[in-house]
Amino acid sequence: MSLAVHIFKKDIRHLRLLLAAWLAVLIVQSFLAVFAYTSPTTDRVLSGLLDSSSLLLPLLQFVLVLAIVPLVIQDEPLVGTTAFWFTRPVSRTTLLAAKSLFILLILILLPTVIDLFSLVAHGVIPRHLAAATPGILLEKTSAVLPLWVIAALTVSFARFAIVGGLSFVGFILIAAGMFTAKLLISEDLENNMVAEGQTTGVLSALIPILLAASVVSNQYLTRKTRRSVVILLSALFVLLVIDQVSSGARPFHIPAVDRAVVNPDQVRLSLDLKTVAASDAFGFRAQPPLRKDISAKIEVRGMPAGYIAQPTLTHASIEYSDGKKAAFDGYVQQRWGQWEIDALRHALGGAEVYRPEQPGESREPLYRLLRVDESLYRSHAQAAGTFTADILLSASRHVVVARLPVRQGAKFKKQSDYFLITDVLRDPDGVRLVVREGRLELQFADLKPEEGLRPGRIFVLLNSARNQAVLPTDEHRLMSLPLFPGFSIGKTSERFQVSSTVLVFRGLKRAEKPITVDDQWLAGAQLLRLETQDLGGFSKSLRVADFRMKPE
Amino acid sequence: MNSENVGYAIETWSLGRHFSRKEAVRNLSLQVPEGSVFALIGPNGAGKTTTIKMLMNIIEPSEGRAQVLGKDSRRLGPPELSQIGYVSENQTLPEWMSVRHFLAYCRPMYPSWDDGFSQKLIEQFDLPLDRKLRDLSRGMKVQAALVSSLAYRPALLILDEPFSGLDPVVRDDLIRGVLELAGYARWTIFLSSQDIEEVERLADWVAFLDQGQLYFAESVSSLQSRFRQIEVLLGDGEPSPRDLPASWMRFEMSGRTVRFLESSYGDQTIEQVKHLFAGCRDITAHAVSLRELFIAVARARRPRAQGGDL
Repeated sequence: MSLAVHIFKKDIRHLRLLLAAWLAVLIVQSFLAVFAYTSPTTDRVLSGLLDSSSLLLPLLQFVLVLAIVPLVIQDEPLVGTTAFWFTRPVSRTTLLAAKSLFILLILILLPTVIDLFSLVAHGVIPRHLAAATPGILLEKTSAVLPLWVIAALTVSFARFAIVGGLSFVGFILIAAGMFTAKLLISEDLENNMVAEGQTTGVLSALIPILLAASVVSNQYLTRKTRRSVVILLSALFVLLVIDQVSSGARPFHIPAVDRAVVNPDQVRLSLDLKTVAASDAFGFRAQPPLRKDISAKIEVRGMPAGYIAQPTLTHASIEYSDGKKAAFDGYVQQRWGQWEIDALRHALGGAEVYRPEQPGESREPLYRLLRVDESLYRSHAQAAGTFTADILLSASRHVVVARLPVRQGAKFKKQSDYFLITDVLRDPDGVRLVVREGRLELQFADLKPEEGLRPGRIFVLLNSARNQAVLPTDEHRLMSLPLFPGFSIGKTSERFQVSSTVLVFRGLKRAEKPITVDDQWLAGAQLLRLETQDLGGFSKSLRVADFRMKPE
Repeated sequence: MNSENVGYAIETWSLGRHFSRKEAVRNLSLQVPEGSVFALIGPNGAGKTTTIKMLMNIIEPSEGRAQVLGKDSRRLGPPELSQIGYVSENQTLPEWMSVRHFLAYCRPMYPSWDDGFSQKLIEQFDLPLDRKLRDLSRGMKVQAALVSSLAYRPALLILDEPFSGLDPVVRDDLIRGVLELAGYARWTIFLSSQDIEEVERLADWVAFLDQGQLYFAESVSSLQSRFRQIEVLLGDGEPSPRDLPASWMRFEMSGRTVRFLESSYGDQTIEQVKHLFAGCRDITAHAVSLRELFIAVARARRPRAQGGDL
């Protein structure tokens, strides 16, 4: 029996009680993942217990790991001069092997296997299991390694707690400081917020792990703590630089639309100048000079039936005869407009679509075109200027991906994803459907549309015989938690999201054509799931010679 | 020391270690003959534990080098450590283990582990096998550490003040135990202590360390042969000589009696004394205990600058 295995067995024996608790937490979490999520979500007591457990169990997991890692590593500490193992014939590589075996088997592989088991129980297909495994492994590793680093550089649990706490606070302060500094430098909050989004690459997930591993290895092999601390600080600096460079520099990109599907040359943009309106711009710093957002209705003509073109990005400018000008590059918030209703109707085979109006919503949405300084607005609001803009439009259409009868238990499965109707609750003027969705997201690769359900979706109740479709009056989440919230540090994906949503469908009495969702109507109804199919983007230019920020 | 025909378990050459601006050990050169019981003595803060930690590769020397069992101390690895037993008051044992578990944990690390010998030691020390180390008295912990360090019959046993803080009965048991074991085989025992009585009972070689500096390292017999307490009864009115030989220590005069410690006693010493005290009536030379010797050396060295050998 090798000495490394001998030390590993000693560690198991030493921490058997904590490990038993750890295993119990993993099993209970897995049990909840497998069984509790299938319980009726209208059982509020059970749902409450489940919600509480889903929050408490990962916390408990985290606390256990916080205790286990320093106890196992500091049983043979690498710092100081009084450790028992220093004068025993245990080589540093043997010790490193023994501790690696413990960390890998107990804190990484075991929870990974349990996670995979839970995924299997939820019907994730083998191909997706294989694709999800690296992400799960990396997630567990990146959560444990920083604790190992701190444990290897401290001599006791008390020091570990102090250094760990200070490191965490320091990390938060640095991250907050850098984020604040970026926002202060660039005043366009929305642009900053959008630009923060990024996908996780294998390399960006591996780099922190490799750097932490190098610190741990150096400490085990040399026991030169100061050098290890220098390596650690250098590694953190490198990570910070990589993070800042990779998160800030990515330009917004949409692939070009297939011209066979949407011909941009046939699309025409125009502005309804009567709808031009100004509003105070939201800025990160609520101090003068304030700015104004100038919005207007954009009319898009020439799109094929059933297709939507949403303004997404604008590069706009306005120039006045006196030489004053302003330019703006920014994202345009997508809004629900008539073209959405038209596209839905087309996807539903021409059915009449009933959508209750949301408070404050207009059928004529306005899109932000320009952002100008308050002073320019005051001086030139009613002056005629030349407005030019290149607007990036995203083409899409709605596609029906599933039809379910309106009854409890009706289920749709697409590869690893599913949704099912768990409850059908009748109301005097409508119905509430509770829908549970299970959706897989992989950390390193996006699932293709044909491989699962999309996050952006629309549910519709369709009565084909009456050619009527009703959109939800209200939609609210009952429960939306990742199946394995676990604990993690850094960016991770929620690998399998299970959520329950209540869809409230009501009749519309004050509509032009009233509709009543009664038993008779429901008898011939189906619940449809539509997803937005993104088709790419294209740019169109706008030029308005007589543009006034405040129409007369 | 004549190094030609003797093997050395430990050798150092100008070994030194500093912590920030403090020199804990400087210019330490000594040789520990194989099979000897070698005691490194000195007061608190003398550098004894630092020396041992450098020898055991627990800390790196700042200067100089050392060899332990023929290997550079910086390269001590499992093959060498499997031949070295180490017990220290400063070492942290895995206190959550029972004595039985502790010994069972150590056993696979040593190919030469002798179960029979281990059992004998356990019985000799009367160790409670099922009690956890943290529940043992300090003396029992030392005994458990000794068993775990002796059961594989190491070639070199290093003891860093293992008996400090123990009550006299326990200390006596342990010392007798170590002596008995030293008699079994040609083990080398290197121990540090500030207890001179303990050293007198155990050691046949002694080195004196103070403020990081080595003042002497030689066999006890050699020390005892060259140190003598000299008493001189002077004649009436005889003055004390102005220039005292450098080898005289703790010179004191009380009435007509002069006393001093001669550190280089030889055949010519009495003649030399007679020459310096021409009118002396009587000269007696007594052997000194190690305790008296060390006190004298310590006191003599403290006010002086760094000097040469005694």
